[in-house]
Amino acid sequence: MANILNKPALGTRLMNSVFFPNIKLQVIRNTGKTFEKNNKLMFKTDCSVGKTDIKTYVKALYDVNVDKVNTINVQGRIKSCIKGFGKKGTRLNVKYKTTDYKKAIITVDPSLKAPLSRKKSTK
Amino acid sequence: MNNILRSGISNIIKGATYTQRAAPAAQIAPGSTIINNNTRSLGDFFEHKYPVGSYPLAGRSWTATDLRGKSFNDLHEIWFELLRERNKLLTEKELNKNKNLINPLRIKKVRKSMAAIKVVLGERDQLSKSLYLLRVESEKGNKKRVGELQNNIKRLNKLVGAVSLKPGLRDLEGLQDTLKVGEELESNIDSLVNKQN
Repeated sequence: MANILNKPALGTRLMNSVFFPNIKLQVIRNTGKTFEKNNKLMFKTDCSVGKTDIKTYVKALYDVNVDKVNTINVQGRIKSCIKGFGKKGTRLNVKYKTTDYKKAIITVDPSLKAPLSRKKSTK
Repeated sequence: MNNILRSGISNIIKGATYTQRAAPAAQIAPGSTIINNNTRSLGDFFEHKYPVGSYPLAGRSWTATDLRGKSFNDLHEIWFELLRERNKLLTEKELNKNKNLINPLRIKKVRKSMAAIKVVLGERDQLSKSLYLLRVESEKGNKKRVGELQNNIKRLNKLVGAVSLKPGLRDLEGLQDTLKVGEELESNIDSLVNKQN
């Protein structure tokens, strides 16, 4: 057992990544509707997030055991700036790139089948 | 007055209710005073549909002054609630037409309160690190550096208060008073040595 007093920096940084993770999970459109059929949900995340990260993250936040995680890296689209509005708009030679993201598809146990769409308010 | 504010804040964090050691409920994280009665599932990614004419309400965000008295486990629980809230808001943004939220300032409030938690954690980290440095510098006998560190510790002690710094680092708390260098003692010893010579 190492003395903690001799390693102050080690204690702080590891704690912050374990107890205070900063990961976004954003459900992609229409995957909530097809969840009943195939037990799969699709998310958008950062490119730096790994498969095991997603597994533990979903278990910690939503109490759901994830069987399998598939990931795809998606490149951002290259777009050109448009000057003007509507039909009058002309494309300029200036181009920019939208942000890259990672698609993550999780498969869940079939016992957890439930409609995952917006519920009606109880009021 | 404080309770009224708290109830307003808990509207941001849906499902979390602030109670001071009330009756035990279904889910209690070890070492925290926050009780959560909701059962968690993947349905938490989606918000319920609001009837026409009504809109989602939100109180104000957490500030650093609210969070300074809280323990590490409490902050950890609040952080997870905020993560759940942010995921829900982002999916709502994706599902809505034109990717617009109804009450778009909610995302900003979540971000601000996450920043406040990091501020509080940073203060505690600074205190523990400066306490460690004080021990090292006092062994070396660097008086100028020791004075700087002691001023820094005095400033941080007021902010952090009597909260445990980190889980597993309770030894550091006891050192706060014992680490002080007795300058009077040293000067007395110096004067004694000079007299003998």
